[in-house]
Amino acid sequence: MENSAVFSEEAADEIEKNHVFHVYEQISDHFSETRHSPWPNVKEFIDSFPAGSLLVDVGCGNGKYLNCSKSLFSIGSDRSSKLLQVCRSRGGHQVVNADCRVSPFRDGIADAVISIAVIHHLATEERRLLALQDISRLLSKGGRALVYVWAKEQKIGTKKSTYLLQKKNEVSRTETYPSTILPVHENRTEFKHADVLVPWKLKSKTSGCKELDPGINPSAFLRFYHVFKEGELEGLCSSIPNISICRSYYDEGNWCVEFKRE
Amino acid sequence: MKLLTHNILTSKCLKGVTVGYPLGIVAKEVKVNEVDFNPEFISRMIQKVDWPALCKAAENLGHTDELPPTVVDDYENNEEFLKKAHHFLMEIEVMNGDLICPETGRKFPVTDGIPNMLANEDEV
Repeated sequence: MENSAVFSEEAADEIEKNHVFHVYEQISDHFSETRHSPWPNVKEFIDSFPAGSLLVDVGCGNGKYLNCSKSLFSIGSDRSSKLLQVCRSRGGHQVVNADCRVSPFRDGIADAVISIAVIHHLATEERRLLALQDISRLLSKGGRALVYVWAKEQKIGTKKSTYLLQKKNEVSRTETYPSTILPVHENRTEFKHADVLVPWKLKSKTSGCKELDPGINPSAFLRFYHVFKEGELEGLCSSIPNISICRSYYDEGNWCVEFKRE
Repeated sequence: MKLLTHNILTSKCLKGVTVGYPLGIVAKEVKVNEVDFNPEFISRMIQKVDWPALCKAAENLGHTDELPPTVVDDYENNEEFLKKAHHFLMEIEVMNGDLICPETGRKFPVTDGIPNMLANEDEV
């Protein structure tokens, strides 16, 4: 099994800037169109909190979970200002432009925190751990957090995830760029490496595939992911003081951990 | 940015800031929306709210002495108090302006309702 790559702080900054931040800013509208249905298990988690609870969504993206419960006060934070604008346009949601490693919220203020498909975009283990520690900082005593990250294992036993099942019968091409030291993942196949660049195919509403402007570098639409091995997310959470893990499970190609602040 | 949101924001994410709370508000554009009043919801929120910070925020927006300086006893059953709290926490929204770090004076812009709390490279 491939070991995770180890990046310097500088390299990690570059990777996150070029292959997370800039990509989301450019694909935000299309991305938002493809992220419309709340995942049932996440919705169930949100619904488990009593009316008047405060929910923070760290890495809220297009705000899909901010609307889930009318009886909670939900605040989202995200690095992408374009995606936050989408949140505002979808009902004036309370959102803040911030870095998931240092959410600008008071200690212990949240009854509930979710971070769905976010920390797998951070390029080093230290950064991923910082994000988890910060999430735990936000929790009030007894508060609970739910974290989802993309799993390296897209097939558990013989059951394939939706991601794999949606593979169309097309000839995928692999792209390599001289300056990129990361492997480019072939969409809708099993992950061969833990740290990968995953292509995003930009589609406009009217036509099929949008032609890229000649000035746009196609490598701008490669998103960086560190996909998590079984037990890896749990292991990181276990190292955080003052929290206990409530449950740990696999959901549609993601490793998921729910933890509680003691 | 509603005042309930403002009430939980801090600039502690910046290097060298120990508390970073509460943030001052210099508003250029404020909107007032009508939001359904739910007494149980507001009662629960009041438990989380830093009341002096809320009063200060209201003051920054030009509403001096409109809120009682402390949370009243038995507020859960005081509809007039709850309605006032509801109005300030949920119905007033800063659309454009700046939030000010109380320790460094650093400005965090609010644009179209969204506060930008991102630190610059040298502030982390």
